[in-house]
Amino acid sequence: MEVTGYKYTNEQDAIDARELVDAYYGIPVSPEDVTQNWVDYQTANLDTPIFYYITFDDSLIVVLGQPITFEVIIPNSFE
Amino acid sequence: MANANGWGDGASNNNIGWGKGADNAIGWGDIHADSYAGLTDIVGAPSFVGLLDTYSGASAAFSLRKLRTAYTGSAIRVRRSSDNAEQDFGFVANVLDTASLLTFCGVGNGFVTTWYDQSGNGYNASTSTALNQPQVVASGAVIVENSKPSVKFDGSNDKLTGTTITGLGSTSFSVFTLSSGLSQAGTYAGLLNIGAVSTGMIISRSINNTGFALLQKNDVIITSAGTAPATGYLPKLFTATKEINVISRLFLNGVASTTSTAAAMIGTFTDANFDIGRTLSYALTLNGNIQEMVVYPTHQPTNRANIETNINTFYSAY
Repeated sequence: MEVTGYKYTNEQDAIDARELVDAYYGIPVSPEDVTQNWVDYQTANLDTPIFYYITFDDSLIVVLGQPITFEVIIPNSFE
Repeated sequence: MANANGWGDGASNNNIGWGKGADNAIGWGDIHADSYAGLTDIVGAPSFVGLLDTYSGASAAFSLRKLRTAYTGSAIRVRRSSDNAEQDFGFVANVLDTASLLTFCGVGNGFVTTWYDQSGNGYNASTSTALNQPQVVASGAVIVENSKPSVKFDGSNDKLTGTTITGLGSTSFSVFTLSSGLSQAGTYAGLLNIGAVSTGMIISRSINNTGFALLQKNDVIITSAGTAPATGYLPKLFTATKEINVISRLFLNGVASTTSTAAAMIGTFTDANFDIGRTLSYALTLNGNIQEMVVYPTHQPTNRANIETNINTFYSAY
């Protein structure tokens, strides 16, 4: 499946990107809030090597810049 | 002539006067405030009876109307776009307190962080990620369908997650979902997802088959083509039931549709966390709205039609 977003080869880079976005949007407002992140990263664990990615949203450009497109293997049993 | 009965004798000279009425067990105090048959009953206002009062035993129940008299919790928790603050919102007159919701959100947007389970079992559905939160207020207006509040999933990344509904995979079930769809491409877009398609159970919009689907353990049954067009559709009530080891059935707007007795479709599935609005195996979220979803650990052989009528009476979907 083609994904537009931000791709990271190691997990810490994805965590750092997530924290940058959180800081920009002031999330969380309170530690007791349900909302703890603005965006989360996902793991492409069927790909070799495994990588990490954040799916694009308009709100991310201001922090993470322009996205790229890349392929992610999604388990898809049947259609 | 004055006597012990006071007003009664003075006004009508009988024994059923005001004084006697006030002194007995059916006096004003009982009628106005103390009795169950209080003033609202006297003037004819209906008392509240929720869906789950009449048809109890739900495993999980999500709605923007109150479903159970004894439920004292909130309907949803909302994050507002202006400053990302959060607040719970309950019910006024047994429907979502939209006035308070709009006061909180102002001219901005409101996103659902938590959709509370009204069943009493605590299977609240929530997400800690802002971009995954479905929307309930847009630019200072409550999102509605058929004039009733609705939760909008964006078809991109919105989903709400809850913990495993214990035992649902090994029993009969029925799931009642009132939802609408916007234009969308792909395969199966989640309404209710439990685990992977190879081991779990999914109730979804089948986009490429233009219907609604029940998937279980790599098998599927779908309502007739055209019942849920890929281009979009207004709110419809989709019911999926499984009588364990006997038959799975689909109903659309109360009308019987596809059935299956295939082993994969009637057997057990593996319990897992659930998602509202996304299918895990297809990584596809619903582009559409959900107004109510009720899950029972029974196939409701007697009450299914009555439950559907109850939902439709409120939402006027068909």
